Amino acid sequence: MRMTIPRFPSARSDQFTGKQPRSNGILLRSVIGLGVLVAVGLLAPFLGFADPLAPNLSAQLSPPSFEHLLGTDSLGRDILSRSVHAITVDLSLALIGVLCGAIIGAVLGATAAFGGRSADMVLPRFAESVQAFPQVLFGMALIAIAGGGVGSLIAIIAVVNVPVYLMMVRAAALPLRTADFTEAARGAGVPRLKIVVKYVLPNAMIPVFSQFPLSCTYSIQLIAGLSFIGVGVEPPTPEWGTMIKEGASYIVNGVWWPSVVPGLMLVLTTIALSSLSSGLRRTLLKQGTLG
Amino acid sequence: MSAPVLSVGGLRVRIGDREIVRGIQFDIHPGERVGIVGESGSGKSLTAHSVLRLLPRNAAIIDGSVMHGGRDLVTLNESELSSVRGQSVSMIFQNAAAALNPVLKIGRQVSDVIAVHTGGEGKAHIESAAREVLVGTGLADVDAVMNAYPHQLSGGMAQRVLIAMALSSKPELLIADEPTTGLDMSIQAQVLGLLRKRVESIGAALLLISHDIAVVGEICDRIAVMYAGRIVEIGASRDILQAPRHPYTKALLQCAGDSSVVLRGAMPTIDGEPPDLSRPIVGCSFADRCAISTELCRTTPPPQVPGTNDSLAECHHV
Repeated sequence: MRMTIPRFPSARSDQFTGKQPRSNGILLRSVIGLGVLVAVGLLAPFLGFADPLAPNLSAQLSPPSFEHLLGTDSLGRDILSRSVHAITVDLSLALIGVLCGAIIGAVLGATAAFGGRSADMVLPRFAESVQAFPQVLFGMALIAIAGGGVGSLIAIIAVVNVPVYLMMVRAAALPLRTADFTEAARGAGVPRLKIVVKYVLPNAMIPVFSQFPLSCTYSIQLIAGLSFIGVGVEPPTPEWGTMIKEGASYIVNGVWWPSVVPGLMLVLTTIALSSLSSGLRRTLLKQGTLG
Repeated sequence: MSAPVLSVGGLRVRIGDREIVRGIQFDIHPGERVGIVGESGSGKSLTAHSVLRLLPRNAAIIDGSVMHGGRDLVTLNESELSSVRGQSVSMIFQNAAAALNPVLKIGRQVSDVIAVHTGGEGKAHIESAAREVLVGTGLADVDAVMNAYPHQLSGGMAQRVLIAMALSSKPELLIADEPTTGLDMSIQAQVLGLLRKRVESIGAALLLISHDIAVVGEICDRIAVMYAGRIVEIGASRDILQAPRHPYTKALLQCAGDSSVVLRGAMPTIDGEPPDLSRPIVGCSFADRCAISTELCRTTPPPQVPGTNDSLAECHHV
């Protein structure tokens, strides 16, 4: 026989507003939206799209038609195919970059919170100075020094995200340093490093979960922005920012599709990711676990 | 009599620049249950936390020794202390629900603590050991509790889990800092009963911190009464409860006395406030509030006057 343990409402739940907790529709919708996006992006090579890289000089800038559903660009490449193939390019660059930034930031944040007074002076100042520097300018400078390419882009995304997670994890970890359960763990003889890794970090990571998709949003925009000014993903790789730039000069002639279609993809992805972020935050808040 | 399991001598602890614990000493012998009572701010909790050096960041031990197992815990470094904490001296805390890691299931947390002290000898073995210590606390459905997260437990269940964890290593001494604060009366009695039973069954000594002299009297062999950072009276529980010698103990017992008078709005209180510990105290710290104080009390520190059964009272007028 299993007894169900009564769930006690936590202090952060809706008991103060008197509202019944609603099911989290925004979280569900954003997960479905992103799921479809990622699935289409991953399966793009197998879904019978035209070759995203093959130029067709007899069909340059042709408007949406049955043959090319969303038209072609100045080299006659299929816009739909390129926009869909770009999903994995943009998302994976952002994901890897933010992941690196979040891991480095979390480690540095924990170091700031637990590494003593000097670490807590130096690391937050470092974070602030990185944040004070314009991101696009920093990206251009790094690419000028280290050269373009995927590696540089990931490094840029990682570096601009480190301060966010450093400050976030530090702020969440500071009160946990003296929380009852970390003191209890110390009192039970749990070694210091294990307390940080098992007791403090998992609890300090909770706000990170809702921040993560939001950082991906900003990062995709940064990637597209850098690509737009020509220092990001290099042609002919399909990427939204590059595509928008390539089509931009034809818009005045009424040829809208080469820019607008990848632009819309960028907007849709941004909406899906930021909805995921706020859905996660609401869910975590409801459970009273978000610090 | 065998060597004490804990011997505190001349302990002085400060928070910021205020000296909160002002030179106290007491011994706890194997299997003995000692209670420290006192009002808020008397330094009783700080005393308990000083034993394992689990002090707030702005607190420090100024002077004194805490002898345990032939070593002075005050001088040990953190890693040496880790081998004492939870091993031969365990501690449980006021707010049981907050003393559990919110992101780990109960079974996992209990297993973790057992693994720390046994050096990890097989996962299945540790899990069955965890189950065993939880069964020992009389929790109704141990399987469900092991799979629950801390926020799913009631305060009483959480405190039972903490007691199980603290005693899993069969320590020589358990320090319990107001273990029943925040629990309702009937659960308080259950938890205290459990505490006493479990401590007795493994032969551990107990240091119980409480503001409730009746609770301490029920469970402990000896009582130490703290006031403004000093132990003003220490002795066998029966002696303290039935024949208190220090005026503060007498006043405390009067306040705790008859709960029916509360309803008539005539609850006895001790007038005045504890002294300001940021300034040095000349004479007796209780003098300003004491009914029988004289000029001598305000100018000269009171002597420790021995009584029957190794008791001491710190007063000019006993």
